[in-house]
Amino acid sequence: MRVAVCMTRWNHQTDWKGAISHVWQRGVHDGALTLAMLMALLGILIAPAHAQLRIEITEGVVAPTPIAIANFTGPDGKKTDEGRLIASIIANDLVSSGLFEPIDEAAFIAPPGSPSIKPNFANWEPLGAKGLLVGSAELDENGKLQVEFVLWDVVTGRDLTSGAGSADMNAMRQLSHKIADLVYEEVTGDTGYFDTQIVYVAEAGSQTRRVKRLAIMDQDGHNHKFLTSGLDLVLTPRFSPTTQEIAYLNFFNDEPNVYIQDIRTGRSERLGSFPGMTFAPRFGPQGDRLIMSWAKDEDGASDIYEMDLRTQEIRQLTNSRAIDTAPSYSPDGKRVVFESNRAGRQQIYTMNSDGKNVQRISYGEGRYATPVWSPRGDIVAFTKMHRGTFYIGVMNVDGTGERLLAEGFLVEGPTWAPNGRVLMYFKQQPFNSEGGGGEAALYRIDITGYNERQIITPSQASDPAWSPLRR
Amino acid sequence: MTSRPLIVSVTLHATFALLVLFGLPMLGRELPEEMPIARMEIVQTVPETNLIEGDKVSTAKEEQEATVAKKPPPPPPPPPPKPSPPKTEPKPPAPKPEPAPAPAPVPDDTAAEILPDKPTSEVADVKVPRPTPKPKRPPAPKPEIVAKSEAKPVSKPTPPKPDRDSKPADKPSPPTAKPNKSQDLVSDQLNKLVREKKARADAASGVLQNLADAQVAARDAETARKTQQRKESADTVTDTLTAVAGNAVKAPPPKPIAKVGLDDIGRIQQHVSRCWSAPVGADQSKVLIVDIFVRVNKDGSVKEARIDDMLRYGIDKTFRSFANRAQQAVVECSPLPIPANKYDQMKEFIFAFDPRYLTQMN
Repeated sequence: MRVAVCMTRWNHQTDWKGAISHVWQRGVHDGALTLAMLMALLGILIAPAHAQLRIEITEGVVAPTPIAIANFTGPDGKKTDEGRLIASIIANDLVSSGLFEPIDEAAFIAPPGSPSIKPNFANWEPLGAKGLLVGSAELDENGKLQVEFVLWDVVTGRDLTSGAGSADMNAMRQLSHKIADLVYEEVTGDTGYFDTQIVYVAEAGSQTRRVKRLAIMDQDGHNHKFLTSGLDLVLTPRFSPTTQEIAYLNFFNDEPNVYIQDIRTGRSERLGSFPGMTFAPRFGPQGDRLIMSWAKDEDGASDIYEMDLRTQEIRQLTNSRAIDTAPSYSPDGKRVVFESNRAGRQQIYTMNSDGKNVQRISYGEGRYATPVWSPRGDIVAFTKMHRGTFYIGVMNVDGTGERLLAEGFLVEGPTWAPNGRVLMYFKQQPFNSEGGGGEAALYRIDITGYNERQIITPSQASDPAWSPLRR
Repeated sequence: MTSRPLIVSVTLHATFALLVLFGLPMLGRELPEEMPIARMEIVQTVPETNLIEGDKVSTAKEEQEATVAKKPPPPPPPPPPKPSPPKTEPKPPAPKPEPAPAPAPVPDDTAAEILPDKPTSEVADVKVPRPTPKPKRPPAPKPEIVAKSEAKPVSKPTPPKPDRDSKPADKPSPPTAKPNKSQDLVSDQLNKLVREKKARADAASGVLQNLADAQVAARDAETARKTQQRKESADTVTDTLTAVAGNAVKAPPPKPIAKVGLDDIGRIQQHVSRCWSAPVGADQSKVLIVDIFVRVNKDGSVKEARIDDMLRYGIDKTFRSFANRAQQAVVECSPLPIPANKYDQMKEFIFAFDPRYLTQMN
């Protein structure tokens, strides 16, 4: 359908605009051909046919796109609480990305009463708005929310995208996130990431009697829920890319092992039965495999293993006397990035997903850990430790182009937004002499290194993992 | 005796000087024809020179600095958030205490985890409707209809205009010229007839006279038509000549044509750069160049800014957003700083928006 719409657009273009220029161009070209032949006959050399002047623009402004988000209107274009809430959720999502700058609603002059009314752009241009989102949200007879919206390009005066949807009232936030995703997508060309969730380790209590529970929330901190009771220590939760499941490390009876929990039912199971310790799990890009570390013996060394989740078959990928851990697949599943201290210090390595072709990629100063392959496939995020400071950084998959994005007393555990544009991690404050301090919280940052923001959580937080886009 | 070699040397020098004066300029005249091409190449390397000249001094790092410098604007965003985020930020705290109540209502059934079930099923609702509604109801046609209206504002004013500007400008003149002449001829003949009627002295001679006059008139008309045709064909030939080889072929008559220089290009580049919200941080693998075909009026105002590759625009989401931004930049930056004396060479051209330098972050 999308394609069909697009094709009609294109046809219009050729119908009455492109056609004219086409004819005109062809006329010139035909003329050029005959003339060139004539000149050649006469033995006259002429300069090559005229080339269109082409001016390259390679510099631009780096600034958030100003966008006006009108409150969604209720029946008969009236203002409603729901409409206001939807607009504020969308605005909050967009501003959190750092790529948008919602315009103060107080400056609006007569927003259209319905998305079907073409706005008077003269009212919006002076505000500096490049985009204008207009929508309606009405309850139908079944108590469902029916939403429509149009995103207008204020500068060129056309609609960029439009859509409609319905949801139960308690899914209004999610519906709003989906609209924000569409706006983000239309303006940036990247897929959105607002209709996503974060699973993390919620921490409470003193440093000595720390309670760690798995918790889940929407990407904007709303709809917070705990997933585990806090009786067992939990670490490193990871989302499945395809199912509503989370793999994590659970210390049951002080025995650390990888567990998988279905977040819909809350039921969790230990993954296989391995002597020793399994940890650092991560799903494959198709959700059918899981890669993890396994320390079989008491010698402290660990190797990387891959498990087929359907057959529970296990395959050893590395075999060293060092600690090989924190494996992460490339988005195509063909390569794996992991950390290892086989060369003395923790460094980052890549290998084929069958364990062959191991290459060290980190050569900078300090130690490198917790590598995570970007969903875009071109870079790897990592934690770096150097001279007592922690950093979150990214580098190309061949190890070149290292960039450090964030630093602190302790910053660790990067996780990617599904579009590979934003990184989340946790940051812990230093402890003070009175035994206080050490608060941990979640942060996220744009891969350009700007727009670092804290995600508000009910308690202290660490080890975040970003979900894929909800379907 | 001694003066002869001197005379010889003077004459030789003089001829050499003359050669330099008249011979070389003749060679030099060819240059302008090729200049545009040479410029094209230089322009492509301009980004670097521009970077050095401009406010921002170099490539990636400086761009980052630039973004840092411009990052301060983002801090302002926090102020704007005042209205919106504060609204929402206060909310997060609200859920903080509420999370317990919030899960509670629904978990009534069993556990907190069951809650998602409903939302997810609703999610399905949310999702499915969106694609379907589109085709279903007016909103679906809407996009299409609006798509039509989209194109109109940009193109409508433009395509018709060029036509009026170019073709009619040439053609109307011949038609008007012709009618005038024929009208004159008719009135002449009428006058003559009147005069003859008045005279009526010698009928035969009058008739002969009329015949002779008519012949002359016919001859006049024919020569007029022929000259007109010649003129027209000459015009079209020169038009095609200029179209093919630029104004160089036409060079002798309109000598005052000013060259388009790097400074002209640079000025326009800088001007448009200020309006282009560049897709920094975009997916490297998806980054692409967008061509915008531009026509300008004499005052530099943009008459048309057309996305060149509309087929791709219809299919490729990333391209569409990049193209929209580029088009916005051109429209927003109107009028462009186009020197009045170079309008003929610059009344239409292509802007190639190339974000590759900007998206490279390493």
